[in-house]
Amino acid sequence: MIGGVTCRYAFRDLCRHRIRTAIMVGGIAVACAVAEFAGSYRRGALDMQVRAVAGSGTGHLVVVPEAWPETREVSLRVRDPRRVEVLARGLPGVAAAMPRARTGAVLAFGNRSAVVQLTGVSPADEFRGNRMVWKSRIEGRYLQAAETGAVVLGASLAERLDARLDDDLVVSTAGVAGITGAMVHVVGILATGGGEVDAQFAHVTLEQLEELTGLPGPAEVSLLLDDHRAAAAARQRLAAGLPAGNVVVTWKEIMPEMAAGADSDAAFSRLVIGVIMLVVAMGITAAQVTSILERRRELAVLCALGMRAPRVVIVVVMQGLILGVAGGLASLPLGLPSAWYLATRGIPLTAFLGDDLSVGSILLDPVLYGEFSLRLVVEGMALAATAATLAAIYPAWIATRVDPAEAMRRR
Amino acid sequence: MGMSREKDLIRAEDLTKVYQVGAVTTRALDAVSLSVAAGEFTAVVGPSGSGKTTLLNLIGALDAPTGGRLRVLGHDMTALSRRHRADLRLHHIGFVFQSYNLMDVLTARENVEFVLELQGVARAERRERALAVLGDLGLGALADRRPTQLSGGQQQRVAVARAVASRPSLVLADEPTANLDGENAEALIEMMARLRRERGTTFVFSTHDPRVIRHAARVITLSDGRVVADGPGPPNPGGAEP
Ligand SMILES: Nc1ncnc2c1ncn2[C@@H]1O[C@H](COP(=O)(O)OP(=O)(O)OP(=O)(O)O)[C@@H](O)[C@H]1O
Ligand SMILES: [Mg+2]
Repeated sequence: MIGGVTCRYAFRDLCRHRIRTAIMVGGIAVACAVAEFAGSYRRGALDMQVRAVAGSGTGHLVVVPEAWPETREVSLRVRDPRRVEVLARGLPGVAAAMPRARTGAVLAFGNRSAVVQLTGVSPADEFRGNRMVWKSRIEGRYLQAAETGAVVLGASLAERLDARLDDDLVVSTAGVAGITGAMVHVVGILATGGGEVDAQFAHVTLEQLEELTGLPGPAEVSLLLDDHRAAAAARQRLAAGLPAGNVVVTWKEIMPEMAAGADSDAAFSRLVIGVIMLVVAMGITAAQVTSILERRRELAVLCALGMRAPRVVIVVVMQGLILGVAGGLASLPLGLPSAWYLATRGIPLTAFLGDDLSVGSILLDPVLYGEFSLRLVVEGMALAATAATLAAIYPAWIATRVDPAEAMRRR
Repeated sequence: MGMSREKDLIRAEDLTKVYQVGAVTTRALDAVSLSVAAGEFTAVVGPSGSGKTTLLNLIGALDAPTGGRLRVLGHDMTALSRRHRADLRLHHIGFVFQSYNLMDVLTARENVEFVLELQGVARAERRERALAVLGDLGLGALADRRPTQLSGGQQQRVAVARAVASRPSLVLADEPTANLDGENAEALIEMMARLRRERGTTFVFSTHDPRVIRHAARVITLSDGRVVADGPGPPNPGGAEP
């Protein structure tokens, strides 16, 4: 539709003002490089956040009793938990399935006490899927399968109780048969590196918790996946085979504040990229309008010779596209190395957060790595081409308004 | 004029063009009536501001008349849309401008090819045709030069090549020799006369230049937007009989 001479005209016209063209391309390149870097950071940060949330005990997917999402009642129990666990472990991409139950409890030692949420766990599964357990320094040891009379405390909780390894604590809780109490032996003190997390950490076995509450079985089965992007598919397969009375929820539903935080982070970074691109696009529009006004006579001649408006638009938009693609390509030597650095060296979060890497009940990774993939290039190029092309629309419209009679006017 | 109406390429009746700039109204053409038959070689002359360019603009479908009637190549120019005017120009009318108006980022050949490309002529053919017409006008050796590497006379000859490459029935030239010296002016007008003889192309050009007027078979004189004289040109050696 558009012939070679028209293309040559469009291209050579851009070469007419090399400096102006170079500045436009440079502007697009810098903006795109920022966008590429920000994209790498955003996805890396999201990945890390999800990994941190899921790995800190929540899992990516959680099987809970049907009534739980409504009531959030800790006394509800999973139906047919054996089958749920077998089903979950049989799914591809499942790294760990962790049955758990919780109860509010008071821990007392000497004249000190602390209100905690006591978590009943299956120790081996916890070791597989909970970074609070496998990543932490443990003084003493973690729990053993089915043992009773043992508790593992977070370091700052132990400090608050002034309890040491091998001390015996009194734990009391409200069970089905009223207030119950038991003695538990501190077999391990665990330092996650997050003070906030440590202050809430109190693990016993599921068996111990059942003894205290009188309620058998787990209240949830948390699933840790190898890749969070597989969550939707895993959820479907899980839901299909689930025993009646249970439902699957995602970490987003369990921790809506975290999910909203991640979403708003992503939205903010998109907004920033959008604003940068808008500014660049406006710059291109201004430069293109100038170029059109300089070329009024030439455009008038083309129009006089019979060039119609659609082709004029194509020429100007094509010039925008050339600028965009050139800018996108020029952004790669800037954006990719910085994204590569982000992906391989990463940002040490300890530099900002100090040694405490906990946020709420979440334990973050010490280093935030960016994402590095073909997607960065594709998105960067698409962004540049789109911005520059959109920026050319107004100049193109101006170009079509040129009066062909101007070609006849004397210079 | 004694010619049958069917042969009229251009037919104007009471053609009027009024320019309104702010409060100032200029009657650039005032009830102009004339007709031009196919194959004529016509000069439009008159003092500066008499309406020569305006007349060519209207005939060339670059602008729309304010009043009267104008038929060009069978089209009613008062009724034509912007788009149809562009199509008419593209396929049937060639232009030669006073200031050459070549695209300076394109070579001579590409300038000529451009029009053919707009017409949708296939690549190989338009290349061949562009080279043929440049060769015919003695520009074969300059085909790959850019306008800035050509003299004024050469540029204007490229412009003529561009105007006739698509074999239009009508070529309009607004003071085509105004920027050329005597020798070049003479050469250019002789070239146009030859094209008219060989191809039967109708030429209408405006001019102040007596050397050019000498070659015209017919001279229309405008003054203050009116036709004040219309008749055969001076007896001349140009061989441009109707
Ligand atoms: N676009 C325009 N807007 C307003 N007035 C115009 C316009 N074009 C021409 N005119 C006026 O119309 C009249 C005729 O102009 P035109 O250009 O047709 O004269 P011309 O015979 O070609 O003159 P010249 O020999 O100087 O080229 C002049 O008075 C001119 O000022
Ligand atoms: Mg004029």
